[in-house]
Amino acid sequence: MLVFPQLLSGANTQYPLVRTDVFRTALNTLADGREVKYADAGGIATRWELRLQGLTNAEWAEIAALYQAVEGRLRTFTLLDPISNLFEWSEDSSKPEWMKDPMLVVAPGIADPFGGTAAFRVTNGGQASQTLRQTIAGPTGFQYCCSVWARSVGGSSLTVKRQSDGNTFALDAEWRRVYSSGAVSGSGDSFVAGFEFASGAQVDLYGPQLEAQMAPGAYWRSTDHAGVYPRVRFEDDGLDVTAQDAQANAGILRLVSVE
Amino acid sequence: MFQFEDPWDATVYENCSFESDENEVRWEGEEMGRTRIVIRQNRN
Repeated sequence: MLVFPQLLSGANTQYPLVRTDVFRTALNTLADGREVKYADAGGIATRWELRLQGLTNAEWAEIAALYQAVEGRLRTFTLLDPISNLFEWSEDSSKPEWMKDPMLVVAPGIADPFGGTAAFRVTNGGQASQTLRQTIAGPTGFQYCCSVWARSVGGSSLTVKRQSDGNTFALDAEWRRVYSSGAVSGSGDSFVAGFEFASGAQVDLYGPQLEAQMAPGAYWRSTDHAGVYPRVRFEDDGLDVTAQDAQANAGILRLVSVE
Repeated sequence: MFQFEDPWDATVYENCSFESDENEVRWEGEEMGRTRIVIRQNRN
């Protein structure tokens, strides 16, 4: 799997960064001046401009190796968008992207910590632990952070899972954001993250988020398109690097998703 | 098309759309985005 590399810090970008969402509208101007417009789905694209500075030689070498592997603009790679939620449908756990073990009952429309009703209540009526999870098409060995706002009036616990790793939190009636982060060993092309509920647990959740970084960032609500972009290519035929000193390199990378 | 309320004088304009097919957001840091959006009213 060709994938845009993470930095040694566990992040996959630096600020500032520019993201441009592109749509295309077909416009037909009639003889009487009226306009007829159509959305052209084939023209949808997303562009990123990453301004990277202070990269070690090893970090820059990974980017250069990717550039060589994809032969410049020719081939595509996977990018985990640094300003997106890698989970799809973060506020609708009824969608098929969420894999739900059979004894879990999920009730939507619960009051969330920000005054809305986008939280959902998960009840495990089974005799064994049950999980609610998603699988993303990202590299197994990356650094990931899985987070969620959680509470439990009855004092249940919640385990935030990353593959087979995870962290367990004792909850009370107050909302708090809990997370599990780190890198797991493995070289696969997918990653499973989610939430595990003990037998009898009843937990309210809001804003599940998966990011390819060390700690939870700002929450991004997601719908049918999350931050995994499987067909991204470089936009430039050259890869310019500026050596700032012996172990500090800088460059501007322009990427485009060709979905 | 959507309805747009002018923040200057609260006039509500019907049949508005975005002027551009592109929306560029520059992120200076987490939750520090900056963009420019042009909205136009369609009169026909």
